[in-house]
Amino acid sequence: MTPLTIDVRELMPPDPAVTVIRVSGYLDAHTASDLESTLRTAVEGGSVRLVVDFSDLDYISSAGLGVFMVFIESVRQAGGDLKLAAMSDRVFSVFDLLGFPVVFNIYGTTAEAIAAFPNHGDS
Amino acid sequence: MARRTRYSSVLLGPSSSTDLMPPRQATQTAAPSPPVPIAVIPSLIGAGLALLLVRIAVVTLWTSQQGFLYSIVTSGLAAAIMALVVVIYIVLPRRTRLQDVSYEHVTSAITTYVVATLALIVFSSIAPQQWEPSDTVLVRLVAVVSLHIAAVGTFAVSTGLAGFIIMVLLIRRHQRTYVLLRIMAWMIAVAWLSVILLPVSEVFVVGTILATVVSSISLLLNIRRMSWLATLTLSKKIRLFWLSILGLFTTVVVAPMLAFNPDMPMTAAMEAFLPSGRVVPALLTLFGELFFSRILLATLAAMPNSGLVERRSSEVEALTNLTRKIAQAVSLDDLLSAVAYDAYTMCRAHGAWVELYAAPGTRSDVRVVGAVAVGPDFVQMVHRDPTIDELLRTSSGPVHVDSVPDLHDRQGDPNAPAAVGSMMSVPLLDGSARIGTLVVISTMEYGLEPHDLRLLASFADVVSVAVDQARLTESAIARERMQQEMNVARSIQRSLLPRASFPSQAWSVDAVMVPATDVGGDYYDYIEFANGHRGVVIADVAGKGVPAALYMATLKGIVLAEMRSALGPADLIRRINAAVWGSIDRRTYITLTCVELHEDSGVVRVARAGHTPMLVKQQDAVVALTPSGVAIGLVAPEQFFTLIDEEEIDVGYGGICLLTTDGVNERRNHTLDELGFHALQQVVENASTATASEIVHTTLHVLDEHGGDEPPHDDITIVALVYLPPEGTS
Repeated sequence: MTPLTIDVRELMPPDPAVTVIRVSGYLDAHTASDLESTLRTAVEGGSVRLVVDFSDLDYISSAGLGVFMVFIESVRQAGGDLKLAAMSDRVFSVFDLLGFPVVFNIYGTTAEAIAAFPNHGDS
Repeated sequence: MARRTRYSSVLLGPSSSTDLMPPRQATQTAAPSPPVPIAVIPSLIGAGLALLLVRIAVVTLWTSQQGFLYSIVTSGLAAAIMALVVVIYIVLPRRTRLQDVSYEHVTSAITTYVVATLALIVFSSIAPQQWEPSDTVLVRLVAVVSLHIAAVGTFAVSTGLAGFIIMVLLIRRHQRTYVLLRIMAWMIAVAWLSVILLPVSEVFVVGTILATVVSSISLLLNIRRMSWLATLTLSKKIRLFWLSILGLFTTVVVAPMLAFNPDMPMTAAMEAFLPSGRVVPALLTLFGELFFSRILLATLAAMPNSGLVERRSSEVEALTNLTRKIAQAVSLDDLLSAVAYDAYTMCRAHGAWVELYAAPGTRSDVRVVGAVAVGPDFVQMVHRDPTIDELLRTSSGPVHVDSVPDLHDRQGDPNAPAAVGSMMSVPLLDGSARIGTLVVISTMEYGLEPHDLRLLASFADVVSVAVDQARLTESAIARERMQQEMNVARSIQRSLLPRASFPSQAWSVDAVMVPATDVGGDYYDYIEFANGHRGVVIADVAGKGVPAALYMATLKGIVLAEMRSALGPADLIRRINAAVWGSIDRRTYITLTCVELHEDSGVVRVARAGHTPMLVKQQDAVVALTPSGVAIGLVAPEQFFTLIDEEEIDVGYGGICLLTTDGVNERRNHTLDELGFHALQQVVENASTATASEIVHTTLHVLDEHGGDEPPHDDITIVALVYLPPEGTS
């Protein structure tokens, strides 16, 4: 079993910054708390434009999904969003069964997710 | 009778030990020799006094004081008196035989001997012991009486000394002790005889010398061991040392006087009492000389380690006391206060305390427990000194700082706390974690004994054991209580699941729920809608254990409250979401599938709130029904309302529905492979003419085969529905 590893990057351009959180390994009820604290650090640090990159995630269990619910409202109220990107079919099916696509914006690639944030120039 | 005794000792364990006790007590009481009638001693003394008076009368009144007859009578009387004295000394100690030599006996015996001997020397020098035949009877009587007192006194005192030596020697009775004592007795006889026969031939001098040497060697062999001395305290040893010097001095004066100086009043009296009578007291006093020398040497030799003996015995006493206090202490603070107090008294310190730290390694405030002779303010003051603060908090073992000012000089730190000259500290551990420190201080530099550090360290060990024990007991009780509560919770949760079978003629329904821990977050129930149709609910609260079980119980209440007004599965799910929304933790959600079963047809209406798909077997085809919907608790009721769809399917006779929670399809084996939906599809496909309970059991079997020894990580719930063909067909 590969434990969950989390990599956080700040993308400066486009303005304002987007925080990309790349998860890899194994996301279940046990490792979800690691991801929660990472997300909390980012949100409390002022990031409201967040993208979670699932491209390297090996496994996700339905028990680990509640973590995304914790921040979605506060981030959206602050004018940002928590977008999910680059899920494998397997991972997507878990989200899909639960009905998560109605709550979250899910994109095929991280680039699409970042591009989906409105730029200052646009708004 | 014997039979009964044996049984009782076998059956009643403790009584067998009491059976053993009486014989032991009997041997103890039998140990002293046969009791001597009390009347014997006074009569012996009376007889001796009578003989003494007779002899005094004879000597006083026998005017010529010459001739063979006079010698025979006076010598015979003298010998008889001396024999009586010896007999009295033999009989007397038997009545009060010592079980063990005590310091008090030895010192009082030596004192008595020294005082009596000096008194005799003084008495025999002052009192007139010589008379002329021309003197009046009265003058002669005074002289004769004083002579007799001096002679019998000298003999009695030296015999008493011998009796005392024998008493001490007999404490450790070996076969050899008796042999050597007998040799000594015979040698005294030989020496006496040799001296008596000395006028006949000079050769008998050899006998005298030989007897003296042999008896002295025998005595020396007998007094080789003086082990009882070693356990005396230092002050007792010092007193015994001075007393033995006094005893030795006395014997050194008296022995040569009796042996070689016939002109000395005492010796003369002895000679006048019985020709050559001085030999026996002389020899006995020589023995005393040897004995006192031995005590002197033994005391000197045992003196250096007496400090050690005292220290050991007080250490053992202190540890025993502490262990007793631990047994009585009701709290850790009580125990630590006792430790601090004991450390204070044992080390003769000027202050002692136990300090506890909130958490290992943190520099949070120090809590002071059981400070003796110092206040908490003083302790805080000591901690303001960074050198000492670090020393107390971080030292890994016992520390002795014999000079605190010196320590500061070395550290180049001028802020030494006044009033602390020297200190010792030992860490208190709970397992491997540092919980505090036991500290002892003296106001003087070099004011604490280095040996005491070892004692403090053993105090700390005792505390660690006690703390450990208290914690273990506490956690065992907590674990026990927790387990009992979990057992209750488990049975309550079981009672929340339907107990009666599904009330339907057309549908065969069976279900099972297996929690991964004691309680779980899975739920299923048999329900009835407003339109009278019956149905089934299966749900899974995200997470497991007690939090999930609490939500599950809440869910059950909501389902029961809402089902009778619900128009169908989708409506019920919407109502549940509306009830739950806002009151459920944001990271928790509930997936749920609700099924309505039509009695008169195989129609099934299904709504799904993010739950795993329902497998349906319709003729030979297995389909997974996934009507759109989102898990309960994720979105607000208005949005949720539009997201829930309902599907309807007619399964037909023999149609099968299988509802599961994700604990089933996500069941992992030791290589972490999940069971998956495909295996469940197989179960449904192969279950051609099975009943609902057969399908449930087959599914459980498939799960067990896949999972093997790997414990399930999530709750497992299986609900099977079969639309039965009407009776009579197939």
